[in-house]
Amino acid sequence: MIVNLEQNQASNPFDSVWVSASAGTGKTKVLIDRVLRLLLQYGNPDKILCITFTKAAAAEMSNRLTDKLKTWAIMDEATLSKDLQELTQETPDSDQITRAKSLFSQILQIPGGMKIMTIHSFCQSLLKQFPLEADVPPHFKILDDLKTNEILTDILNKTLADKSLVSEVQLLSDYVSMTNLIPLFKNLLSERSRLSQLLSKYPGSIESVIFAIKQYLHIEQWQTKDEIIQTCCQHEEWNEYCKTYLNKDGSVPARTKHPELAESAYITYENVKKWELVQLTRAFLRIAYRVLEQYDIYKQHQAFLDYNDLIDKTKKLLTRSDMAAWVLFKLDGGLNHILVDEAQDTSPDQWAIIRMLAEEFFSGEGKSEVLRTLFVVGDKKQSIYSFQGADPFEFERMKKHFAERIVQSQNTFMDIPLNYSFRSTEPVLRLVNTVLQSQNAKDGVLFNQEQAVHLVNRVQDGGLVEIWPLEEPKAQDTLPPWKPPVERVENASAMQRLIDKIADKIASMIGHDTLESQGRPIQAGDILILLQKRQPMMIPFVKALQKRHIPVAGVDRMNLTDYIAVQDLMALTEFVLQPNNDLNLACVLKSPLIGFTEDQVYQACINRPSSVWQQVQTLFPEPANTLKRIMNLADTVPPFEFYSTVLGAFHGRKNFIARLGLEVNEALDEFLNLALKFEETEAPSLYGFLNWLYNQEIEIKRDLEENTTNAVRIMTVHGSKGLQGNIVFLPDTRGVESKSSHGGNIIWTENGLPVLVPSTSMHVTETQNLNQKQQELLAQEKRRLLYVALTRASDRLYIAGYNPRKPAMQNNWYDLIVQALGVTGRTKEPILRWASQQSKDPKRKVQKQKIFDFDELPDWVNKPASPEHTVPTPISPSKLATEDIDDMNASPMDTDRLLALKRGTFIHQLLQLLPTIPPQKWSEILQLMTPPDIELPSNLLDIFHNPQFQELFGPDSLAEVPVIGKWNNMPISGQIDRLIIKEREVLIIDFKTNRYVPSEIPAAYKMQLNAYKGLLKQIFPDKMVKSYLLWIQTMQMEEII
Amino acid sequence: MIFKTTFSDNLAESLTKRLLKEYQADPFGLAKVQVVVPTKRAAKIIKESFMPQKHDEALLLPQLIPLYELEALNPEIPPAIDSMERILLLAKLCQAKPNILTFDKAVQLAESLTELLDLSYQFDLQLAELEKLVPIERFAAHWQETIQFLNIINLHWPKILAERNQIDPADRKVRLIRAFTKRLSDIQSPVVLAGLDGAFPALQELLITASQDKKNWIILDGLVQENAPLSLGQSVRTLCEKLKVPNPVLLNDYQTKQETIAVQALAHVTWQPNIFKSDALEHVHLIVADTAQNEALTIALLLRQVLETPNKTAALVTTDRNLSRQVISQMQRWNILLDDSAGTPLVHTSVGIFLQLLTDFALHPDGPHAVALLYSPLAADGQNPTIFRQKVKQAEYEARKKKSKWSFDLKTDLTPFLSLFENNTLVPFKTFLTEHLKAAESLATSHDRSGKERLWGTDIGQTALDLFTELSTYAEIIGEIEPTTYPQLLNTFMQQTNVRPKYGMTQRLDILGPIEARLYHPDVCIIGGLNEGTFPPIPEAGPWLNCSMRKQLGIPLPEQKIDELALDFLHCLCASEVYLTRAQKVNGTPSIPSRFIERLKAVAEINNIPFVEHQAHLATLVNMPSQFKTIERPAPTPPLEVRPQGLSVTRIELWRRNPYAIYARYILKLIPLTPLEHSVKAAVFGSLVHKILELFFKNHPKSTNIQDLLLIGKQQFAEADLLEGDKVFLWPKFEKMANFIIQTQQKIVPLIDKVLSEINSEIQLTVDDKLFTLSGTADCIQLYKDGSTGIIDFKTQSAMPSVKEVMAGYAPQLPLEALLAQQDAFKTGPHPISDLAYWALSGKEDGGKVVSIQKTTDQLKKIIEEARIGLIELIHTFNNSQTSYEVCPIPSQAPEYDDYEHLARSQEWNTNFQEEA
Repeated sequence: MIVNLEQNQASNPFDSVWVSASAGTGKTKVLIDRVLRLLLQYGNPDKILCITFTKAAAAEMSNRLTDKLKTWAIMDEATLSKDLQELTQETPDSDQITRAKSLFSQILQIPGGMKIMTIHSFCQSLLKQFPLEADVPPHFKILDDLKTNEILTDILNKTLADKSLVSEVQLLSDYVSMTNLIPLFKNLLSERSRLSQLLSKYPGSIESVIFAIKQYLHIEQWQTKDEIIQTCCQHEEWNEYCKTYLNKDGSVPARTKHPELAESAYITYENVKKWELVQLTRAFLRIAYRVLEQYDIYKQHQAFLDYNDLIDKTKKLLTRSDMAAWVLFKLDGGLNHILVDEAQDTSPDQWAIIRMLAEEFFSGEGKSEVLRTLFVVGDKKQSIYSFQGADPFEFERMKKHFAERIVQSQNTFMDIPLNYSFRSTEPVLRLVNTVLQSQNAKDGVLFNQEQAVHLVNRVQDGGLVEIWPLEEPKAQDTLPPWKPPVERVENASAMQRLIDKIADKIASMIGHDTLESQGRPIQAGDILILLQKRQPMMIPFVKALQKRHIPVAGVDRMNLTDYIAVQDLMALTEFVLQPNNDLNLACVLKSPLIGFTEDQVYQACINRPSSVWQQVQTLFPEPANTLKRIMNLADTVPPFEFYSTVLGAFHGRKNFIARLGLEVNEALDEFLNLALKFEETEAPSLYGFLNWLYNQEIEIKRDLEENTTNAVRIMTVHGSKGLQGNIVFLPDTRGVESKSSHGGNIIWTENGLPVLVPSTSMHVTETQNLNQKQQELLAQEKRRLLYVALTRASDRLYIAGYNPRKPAMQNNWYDLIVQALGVTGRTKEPILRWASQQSKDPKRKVQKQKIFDFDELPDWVNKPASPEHTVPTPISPSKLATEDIDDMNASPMDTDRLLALKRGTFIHQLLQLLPTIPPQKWSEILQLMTPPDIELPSNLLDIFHNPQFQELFGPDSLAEVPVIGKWNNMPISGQIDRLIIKEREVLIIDFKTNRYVPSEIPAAYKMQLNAYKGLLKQIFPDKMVKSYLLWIQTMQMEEII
Repeated sequence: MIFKTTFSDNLAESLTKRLLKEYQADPFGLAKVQVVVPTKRAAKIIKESFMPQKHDEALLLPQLIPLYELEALNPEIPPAIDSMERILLLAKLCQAKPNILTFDKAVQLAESLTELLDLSYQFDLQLAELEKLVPIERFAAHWQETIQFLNIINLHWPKILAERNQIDPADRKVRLIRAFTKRLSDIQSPVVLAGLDGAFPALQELLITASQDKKNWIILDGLVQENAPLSLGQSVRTLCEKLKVPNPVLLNDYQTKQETIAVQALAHVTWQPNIFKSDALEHVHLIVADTAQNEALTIALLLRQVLETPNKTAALVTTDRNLSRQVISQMQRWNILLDDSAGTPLVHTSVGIFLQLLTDFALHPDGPHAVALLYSPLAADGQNPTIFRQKVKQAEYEARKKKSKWSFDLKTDLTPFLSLFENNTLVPFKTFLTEHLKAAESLATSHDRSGKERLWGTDIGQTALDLFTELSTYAEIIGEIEPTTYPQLLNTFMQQTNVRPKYGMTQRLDILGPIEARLYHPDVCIIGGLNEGTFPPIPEAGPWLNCSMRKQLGIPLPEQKIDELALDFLHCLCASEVYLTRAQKVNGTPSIPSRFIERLKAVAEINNIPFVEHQAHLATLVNMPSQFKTIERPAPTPPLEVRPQGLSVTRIELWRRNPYAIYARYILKLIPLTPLEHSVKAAVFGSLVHKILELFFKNHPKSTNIQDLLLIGKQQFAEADLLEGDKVFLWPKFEKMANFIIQTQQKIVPLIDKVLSEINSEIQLTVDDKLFTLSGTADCIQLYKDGSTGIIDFKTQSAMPSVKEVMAGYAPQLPLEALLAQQDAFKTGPHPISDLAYWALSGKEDGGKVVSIQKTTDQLKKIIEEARIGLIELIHTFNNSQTSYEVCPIPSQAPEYDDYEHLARSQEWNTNFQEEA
C-alpha cells in the first residue's frame, strides 16, 4: 500500500508535482494515471499538454490512454466504480462515473487528438499558429538532419572556395588534415545555436568574441607573435632557444641547468601556442559564420526550419513581451495542465519554453479561476543526452525554481520520489544498489549525500544476476614471412569468442530454459543485448544469432547504404542505367535478386567477347529476360514504384528474405522510405537517386520497442532509454579509450567561448583544464549510462566483457561493477551468481492469439488475373471534334489556343443565355460581358433576328440536352446544343464556332451528328429526325444527311 | 418532395430509378428536369447510372448541373477573375510583405489567404469585423500584427477587383446560387436537388425555397438521426429542421446489416450494452499489418481475390497516396494495371520529371545532372530515342572508364536557357518559362515526331499543356525572379496539378478518395491507411483565426472536415463487404489507430460482438520463401589456363592480402567503374602529388630550387579534378611537401649521379616451367655516385607500411622493385641496392619524412632474396589447379580498400569479426 501511496500522491490532480522516479518505478503508469485523473476531475482533454521524449513514446502513451478510456466507456457501472476508486482512492460520485464513460468519445473528438507530443512537435504546431508573431514563414517545412547535412556540406565546399577567405582556409590547412576538415566543421555547425548565441552575447563581430577569448586565455590583446617571442629572445633564435631549454613537447625539463630561462621559455612557448590558437579560432569562426549566414539565407529562401530553429524560434516567440499570455489566449483558452516526461534530458532551451508557458499559469494575470498544474517526472541518474544539451543539474535547478514560483502563487507543490521498483527482480536490484554504494561508481550518478536505494516490489519472483569472467585475447601467432594466402586463419578474436559464447547461451535458453516469473519457456523476444556503442559488436552479434537461427529484430541504427541488400538494389539501379558496368552486373547476378552461384558468375564472365551483359543474354536467357523486364520498368516509373515493383512483383523481397533472413525487411522498408523522401525535394529520376545515395551517409534510426516481433533486440544503451527486457546481456563493458566524440577538437569555455585546439600537443593550460573537465563530465555520464543499462533488466541480467587488444578504459564498467561487488577470481565461471527463487505463482500472460486468414497460399496468388470483359466507355462525340485547335501541335507558348477555347465556350454560353433575355438588352449585355481579349463574330446577334433560325430559340426548344444510348453498337453519351421537338419532326442543331469554316465538313462532325440522330430516332420512332450544323462565323446552317 | 437516403444506398442509382419510373411515359419530360448535384463528378456518375438501367434504349436525360455551374452567364453578376491570375496577383501582394522572399512561397501564402477570402463569401462575412474579434485590450497590439497582414485581402484586394470590374470566383458562385434561387419560381419544370447539404446560408436558402414548390425534389444524403449527440452530419440535420421535415421518406430502404451499429459507433458519445446482434459486423473485417508495405500487399491480395468472382467490384478507399502507389505496384504481380483516381501530381510524371531535370541541369551544369537529363525517356535530341539513349549510355561509360569529365555533343542548343542561370541576376519569369519550354521541346524532338507532340500530345501532356498555357498567359504578373526561385515556383504549380487517369485495365477495381467512394458504392470496400493523422488527417487551424474566433464569425471549425470524412467513412463502412486496414508502424514510427476504428471496436466490445484484429498473415506468407538458403564463402578454383601469367608489384601485395580480388580482376576481368565525376578527394590529391613529383624529377632531376617544384605544382593544381575550396585548402599542404622535398634534395643531390622517375620495368620468372611476368613502376630511382641504387616510394595519404609488414611480405612493393632493379629491369645497370625508402609526404609541419628500411646492403639483399623466394612460392602455390582464390584468408591482413567486397558478399557469410571492424 505504501507503494501505491507514492504513486497516488504523484497523480493527484490538485497539486503540481515534481517526481524523481528511479528506473522501473512505474513512471509511465503515474503519468497515465495523472492524465486520467485530470480528465476525470476537469474534463477538457484539449487543455492538457504532455511532453514526451520521442514520437514512439507519445504514440505508446496515447494508445494506452485510449485503451483505458475505452474500457471505461464500455464497463458496467459497478466495475467502473471500483476501477475509479482504485485510481483516486475515493468513491466516485455519479457525475464522475458519467464523465468517465464519455471521456473516450471526448478525446476522440479532439481534432488533432490529445496533445501528447515531443517538444519539437509542440513547437512546430505553435509556430504554425503564430508565424507573424514568431517571424517565421507561414508555410515552413521541417529540414531533417539528412537534408541539413547535405546542405551544410554543399555550402561549406562553396565557402572554402570563397576568394575572400583564402587566408583563413590556408591557415586552417596548417593544422587540420583533409579528412578531418569537414567533420570538424560539421561538429561545430551541429552546435549552431551556441554559435549564434555567441554573437548576441558578444555583439558586433567575431573580433569581440576573439577579444573575449584572448582575455580568457590571459594573453595581451594587441601583441603580435614576434612581440611575444621578443619577451624572451630574438625572433630568429626562437627555435634554437626552445631546443636548448625545453623538452620537445614544450615542457620544462626535469633537470635543467637554467631553471629560470627554461621557465621563461616555457611561458613564452605557451603564449605562442595561445596566439596560434587564437589565430586559428578566428579563421575557423570566420568561415563558420559565413557558412551559417549562407545556411540561414538558404532556409529563409526555401521556407525551411531545422530542429534547432523550432526550439529557438519558439523560445524567441515566447520571450516577446506578453507573448506567452497571447499564445495561451489564442490557443483557445490554452493549457491548464502541463506534464513533462523524461525531464532529466530536457535541455535548458527546452526548459525555457516550458518555463515561459507554465510561468503564465502561476503569474498574477494569467492566473484564472481554474486550477492549473505542472507535473514533471524524471530521474537525473538517467540523464544521458548531454550531446543534445541535457544537463542533470538543470533538473534540480528547475525543481527549485518552480517550487518557489508555485508556492508563491499559493498553489500546492509536491516533491515526490518514487523508489519502489516494479520492474526488476531482487538480484538485479541488489546489484544496482550495491554498485550505487561504491564511491567510484556513483560519481556522477548520485550527488552530494544522496542515496539511492531501490526497493523491491517483485520479492517473490525468480531472478538472476551473473557476472562472467572476461574473455582474454589470445597471443597472436606470428605468421611466417611470405606465407601463401591460402589457409584461412580463423583464430577468433576475444570479442568474437565472447559473442559466440553469448549466442550459444541464448540458443540454449530459448525454448529450453524457463522464465520463472511467467512460468513459460524463454523466447527470443525476452532477450535484450545492450551495447555502449554500435561499433564493433552490433553486426557480429546479428550474424552470430542468425547463424544459430535465432530471430533478431534488426538493429536500432544502421548505415543504410552499407547494408548488402541495399547495395544489391543500388547495383540493380546502376545496371539498368549502365548495363556495361561489368563488375556491377556481376554483383547483381550474385545478389539474391538473380541468385547466380560463383560458378555461374564465372560462366558469365570468362572468355567473353564483349560485355558481361552480352554474354548473359547468350548463355542465360531466362535471367536475362528478367533483367530486361526490370530495365523496361525503369523507364516508365519513378524510383519508389521501381523498387516496390522489383521487391513485390519481381519477388525481390522474397528472394532477399531467403538469403538474408527476415531482418532484411526493415532495411528494405527504410530504403523505400528513402525513395519517397528523395522525391519530396528532388526530381524523381533513378539516375538522380543513385547519385544522391552515393553522396550520402544515411543513418537510419529505428525504435525497437517491446512486443513487435518475437526476436532478440540488440541496441545501444542510449537507444534503450525507457525500454526493458526480461533478460538483459551486457557484453560491452570494457570499452576502448576513444577521443572525445562530440564537439571534436573544439573546446568550449564556461562562458560559451569556443577555442579550436587542433591536436593534443596544441593544448595550453586553460584548454587542458577545460578538456579535463569535459572528460570528467563525460566519464560521469558514462556512469549514468551504466545505471540505465543495469536497470533495463526485469528478470535476469548477464554481465560479460572481453579485454580488447588496446588498453581498456579507466573506470570501465566491468571494473566498476567488480570493484563495487568486491569479487575477484577472474577464472571462475561465472565469477558471481545471485539468484532469487520463484515463491509465488507465476504471472502467466495471455498470449495474443494469432488469427490466420489462410494456412497456405490460395492458388490465385500465383496466377495472373483472367482477362476482363470490359464495358466500353461511352463515347462523347463532341469531344471528338474540338474546334479550331490542333492539339497535336499545340505548345504552351501560343496562348491563342486558350483564347480559342474561351471564345468557343463563351459563344456557346451566349447562345444559351440571350434567348432568355429581352432583345433590347442584348447589345448592352454583349458589351458588358465580352472579355476584352475575345473577338466575337460581328453579326452574332443576327442569328436571333434571322427568321430562318427563329424556331431554334423558340419556346419548344431545349438547350444543352444530354443524351445517351447505343448507336452502331457503340455506347454514346453526348450533349445536344439545341433540340427542337415538333409534332412530326425532331431537329438537332450543333453550333460550330470555328473562325475559319472548313470547305468540307470534317468527318468527326458528321459522325457526331449522325450519332445524335440515331439516338433521337430510337427515342422518337414516329418522328422525322433531322440534324444540322450551324456555323456561327458565317451564319450558315447545313443539314447533315 | 423531400427524400433521404440510407448510408448503404447508392444515391445515383436510386435517384435514376425513381426518375425513370416517374417519367416512364414522357421522354421529353425527363429532359426538362434539372438535377442540381454537388460536383461535376457527381453529375458524371448520375449520367453513367442511366446507362445500364435502360440497356440499349436511347434516352434524353435531365439537365445535370453541378452546383457551381448553375448559370454560365448572368448579366447581373460581374465576371470572375481567372483563378490563376488571382493567385498570382495575390502572391504579388503577399510578396510585398517582409520576410516572404521568394515568389513560390508567396504563392503558398496567397493560397491560404484565398481560403479565408472564399469563406467570407460563403458565410457573408465582413472582413472588417475581424478587428473586433479580440476585445481584450492587453492583446490588441498582438492581434494588430495579424490584422495588418490580413489587410491584403481586407483592403488591397477588393480595390484591385473593383478596378478590373471583376469578382472572386467564390463570390460569383454564391451569387449564382442566389440568382438561381430567385429564378426558381419562374422555372416551370421540376428541379431536383440531390446530395446538397446546406452547409452555408446561400445553399440553405436555395433548398428552402425549392422545398416550397411541390414539384421539386430534395434528396438528402448523409442524414444521421435526430438524437445523435455528436456533430456528425450536423448541416443536414439543421437543414431538416429548417425544412420542417424532421424525418423525410426514404428514397430506397436498402440497408446493410452494419448500418445501424456503424451510425451508432460514429455518432454517439456513450453506448448501451447488448443491443446489436452478434452478426452485426460480420461483413466488416479489421486487418492490422506490421508495416505499410505489408498493408499494401494485403490490400493488393484482397483486390486480386475479388477478381475471382465474376462481376464483383471492389475499391480501395484511402487518403494515403503512398499506400495506393504501393498497391498499384503490387498489382503488377498479376499484370493488373490500376489507377489512383486522385491522380499523380504533375511533378511525378514523365513530363514533369523531364522539365525538372532540365532546370536541375541549368542550376548544376555538371556531368551527373547532364546524364540524368539525357537518360530521360523524353530526351531524343532529334534522333531515334532508343538510339539516342544508347549513345548517352556509351558516352557515360567511356567517361567513367577514362575518369574524364563528361562531354557530349547535343544538337539542341540549350545555352539560351542555361545562360539565364549563369549569373545570379534577376530575369523575368516569362523569359525563364519561354526558354525552358523551348529547350524542352527542342530536346524532346525525335527523328519522327515533334517535341511538341512528344511532350504535350499525351494525357499527361494535355494537363501540362493547360497549366503552362495558363502560366504563360499570366507570366507578366510575376515579373523578375532569381534563377533559384524559378524551379521552385514551377514545382509549386506542378505539385498542385494532378494528372487524372483515364481508365485502367479493369473497371471492376478502383482506387478512390473518400468523397468519390461515397458516389461509387463498390461491392467490396477496402478502407486503407486507417491511422490518426492519415485517416482522418489532422485539420490545421491555420495561422489566422483560432476556433473561438471562427465560432464568433460563424464559419466552420477546422474539425468539421473530420465530420465530413466520418460521413464518407460511414458510406464506405456500409458497403456489402468491408475491410479496414492499417499499419502498426509507418516510416518506422509506431502509429495511432484511427478514431473511427477505436469507436467501432468499443461498440463491438460493449455488444459482445467479435471484431478481431486480423494480422496481415497472407502478405507475410506471400513473401515467405519455401526455404532459407545460405551461401558458402567463395573459394573459386579456375583452371590454370585462365590464371594470370603476370602481375605488377602492387598487385602482388593485393594477391597476398586478398587473392579473390586478383581472381575477380584478372580472371573474371571485372574492372571497377566509379560513378561519373565522383572521386575520392584523398586519392585525387595523392595522384596529383605523384604527377607533380614525376614531372619535377623528369624535368629538374637535381634541382634544389623550390620554384621549379612550385611552378609545376601550380600548373597541375589548376587542372586537377578538385573543388576550388579543396585546392585552396590543399595548396599550403603541398607547399610544405615541396619544402620537405627540396630540403631532402639539398642533402642528397651532392651524392647523386642520376635520378629517374616513374619508369616501367618487367622481368620474367620461371616457376614450374611456366613464365610469370613481374612488372613494376618505381616512383623514383636514385643512382648514387658510389655506384649503388636507392628506390623510393612516395606515400601521401595511405598508412605507411611497417618494416614488419614489409618483411612478412604484406608490403612487398619496395623489395620487389629492388628485385626488378637487381635484374636491371629499369635499364640502369646492375647496381647493388643501398637504400629502400618511403618518402612519407604528410603535408604537416615538416612536410614529410624519409623512412628507410634501414638495413645494411647485405641485409637488404637478404630481404630482396626472401621476397623473391616468397613470390616464387606464391606463384607456385597458385600454379596448382586445386589452389583456390580465398577472400582475405588472413583477416588481420585484409586490404584497406576492397573493390570486390560486394562481389564476394562477405556480409552474407562472414561470422568471424575483428575488434576493429
